[in-house]
Amino acid sequence: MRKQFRKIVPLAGLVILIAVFSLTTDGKFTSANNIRSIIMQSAIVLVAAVGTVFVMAHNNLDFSLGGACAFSSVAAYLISGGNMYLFFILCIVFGVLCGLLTSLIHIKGRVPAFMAGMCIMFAGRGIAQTAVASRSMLLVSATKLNNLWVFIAIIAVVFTIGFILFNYTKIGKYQKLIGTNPKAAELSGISISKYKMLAFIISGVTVGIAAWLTIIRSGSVSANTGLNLEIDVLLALSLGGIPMSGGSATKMRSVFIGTLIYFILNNGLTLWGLNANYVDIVKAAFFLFTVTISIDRSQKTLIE
Amino acid sequence: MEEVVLRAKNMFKDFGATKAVVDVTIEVRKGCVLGLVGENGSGKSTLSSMIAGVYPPTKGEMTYLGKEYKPKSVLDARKSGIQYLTQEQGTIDGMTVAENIFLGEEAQFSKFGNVNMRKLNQHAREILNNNGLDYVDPSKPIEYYSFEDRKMIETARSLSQQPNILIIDETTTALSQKGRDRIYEIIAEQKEKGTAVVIISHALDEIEMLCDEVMVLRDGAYIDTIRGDEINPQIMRQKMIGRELGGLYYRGDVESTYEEEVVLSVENLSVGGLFSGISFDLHKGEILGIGGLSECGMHELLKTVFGAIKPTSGTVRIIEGGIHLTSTAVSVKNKVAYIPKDRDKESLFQATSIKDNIVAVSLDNLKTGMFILPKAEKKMANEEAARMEVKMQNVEQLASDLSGGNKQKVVLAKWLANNTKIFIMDCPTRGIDVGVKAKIYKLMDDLKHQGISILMVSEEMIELIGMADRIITIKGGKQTREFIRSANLTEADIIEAIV
Repeated sequence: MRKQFRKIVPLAGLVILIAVFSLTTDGKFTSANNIRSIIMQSAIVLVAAVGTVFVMAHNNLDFSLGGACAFSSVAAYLISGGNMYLFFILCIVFGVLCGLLTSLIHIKGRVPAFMAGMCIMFAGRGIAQTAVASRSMLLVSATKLNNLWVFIAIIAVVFTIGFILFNYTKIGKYQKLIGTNPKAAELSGISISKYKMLAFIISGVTVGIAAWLTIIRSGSVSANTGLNLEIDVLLALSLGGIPMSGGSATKMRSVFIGTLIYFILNNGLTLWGLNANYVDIVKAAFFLFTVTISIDRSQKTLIE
Repeated sequence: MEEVVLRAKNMFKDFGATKAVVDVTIEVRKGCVLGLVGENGSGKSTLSSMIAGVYPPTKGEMTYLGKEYKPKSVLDARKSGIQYLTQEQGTIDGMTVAENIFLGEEAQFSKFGNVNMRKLNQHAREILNNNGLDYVDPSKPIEYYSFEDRKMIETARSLSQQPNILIIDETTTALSQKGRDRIYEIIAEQKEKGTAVVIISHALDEIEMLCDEVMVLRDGAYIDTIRGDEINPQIMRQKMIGRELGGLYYRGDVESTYEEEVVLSVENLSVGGLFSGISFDLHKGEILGIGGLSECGMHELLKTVFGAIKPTSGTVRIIEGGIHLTSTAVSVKNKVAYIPKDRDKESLFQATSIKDNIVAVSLDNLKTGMFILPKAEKKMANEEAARMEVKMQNVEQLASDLSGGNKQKVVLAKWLANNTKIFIMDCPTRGIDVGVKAKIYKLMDDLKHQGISILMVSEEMIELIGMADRIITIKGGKQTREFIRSANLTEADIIEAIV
């Protein structure tokens, strides 16, 4: 009974939010323009979150996202020299590189993953800031793609592929097993290092795509590209009900539900005219509420 | 008949909808050792827990030393002279040995709220010495000591004030032979002193050896009490399950039977500090048993053979293909299976469905193209669970909901699903009730006749003698002897080679 309740809370939260904002904003919330705005704002976090789910499922947190995003954009820009398609491919390549590096530091260097992620995050941002300071990085041609349907297409493709990989292949399934019980996973013949690395690589791919989307939206690479991406993704996934320690209960749908809650909350509160400072407080309260209800305390003793 | 110390009449205990104990009456007598036996779920632990003050009965009365007895807690029961030893850790991390011994009773050493540590340690020292624990330092933090030492300290604590009743609930299962012997000594000493002893155990030979009287429970209800010569494992088993076991428990034959072909070869295997120079061949269709004391290195040996521990020297080779088992992934790929001793921590994915547990190692075999379809998973899980007769609601149920015996069935189902050719088993029937044990032995026999090989470690001598074609003994990390299956092989023979 309690388990069912726990599963429904994020979805229920989303539905309630949508209902409340639809009814109280005189139709502003449900206007086509607003919905378009929400979708395009949330796309970056949504895409990055798909990859992060793989990492969280095996009980790790990827804190490199923001720095990886910045670094990938900068490196891709410098090498691609304005060629859109090359830029896209290189974003992904460098995203994967960051993911690989993070996982290597974690696995070979035996550094806790979140610390390894943070190192990459700081390094990546530092490199990006230095590069941006020395020249402007405009990619106006990218803004051609700044429209709703491109974004929806990318979200759809990334989510679908992520969903299939996570639920119907070894790559996804093993993440959940490793998160539930790494010892049993190893003794079942699963190579823990190999699959952890694959998760970080997948996270790197989605970070690369997120970087690309960021440039499309803004038309340039700046020192703040991808700022706080890792925090936004973590909050969004938590709001979506993802278990903190991963494991078998990790669901891809947390990506959608959580990201939507996050951005709808932002959007709705702004439509209400709430002071921007208070918006953060409300978000924090909502987050605390959802997570407290969602944490499965019974699971804790089982794992012990 | 000896004097009755405690009588629990018409005891009932419900946990929600589960009726754990149904109308059981038990009498505990002075200087008598009473055994409580039954399958998992028979109510034996629940019954003794109520006597020990862990929780109150739903219905029923207890009289102790002639007066009404309603303990409010275990500490309360302890103060009135009823001591309770369980299987799990009963000592608390973060406190010293002395603090643990006098937990809840520090008042006798304190003045104005300050505990006199010197006195505490002194008294603790006395208690430890009286119980053969001279090597334990009362001022050291308790985490410093091994599980077994901690259990012995706990035991010393329970005897520090002469108890009237001593309840021992499956305490011996997790101990080495040395620890078990010490408990047997204690039971004999206490019996002499007139203490009433109640012992709960799955090891029926232990019960046979120690008890004057044995009470059998099944599904929460009282079945029978057996005394004297009637106390033997066969009769106990029969009453526990309620039907004839169909004659055989272990293997029916008394000869060593296996094919000449060697399937797995271990040469000069060593892991620094644990074991060294182990060599043996495992033949097709053979059950090769390994026996030794708990810390002799045999458990780690199995993990090393499977590829989970890197050896410092030596090789483990599958003859077919000449493949070296260098990692668990390689082993699984080559149809080698490993069943760990610690079922809950090392072989089961707890907060996960039975289905996911069963298909975990067979995902490659289930693929349709590049993907693993839920339908295929469910089919395999249902088939294998049915083959092992797992008692469950359906395969989507969480593995953690199952009883110990059914959990082990799921573990076996997992490896059978992968068409395993070589099984490496570490104490496969540990903590499992008789009915399921019998099923596992039959399974092992069937596998053997199909040409599947089994390498088995067991701390139960009888199990090794009953099931193995050959038995290798390990002592202090080194191979000592090899025994061939025979009707004349006795426990004493093997014990000689391992202590």
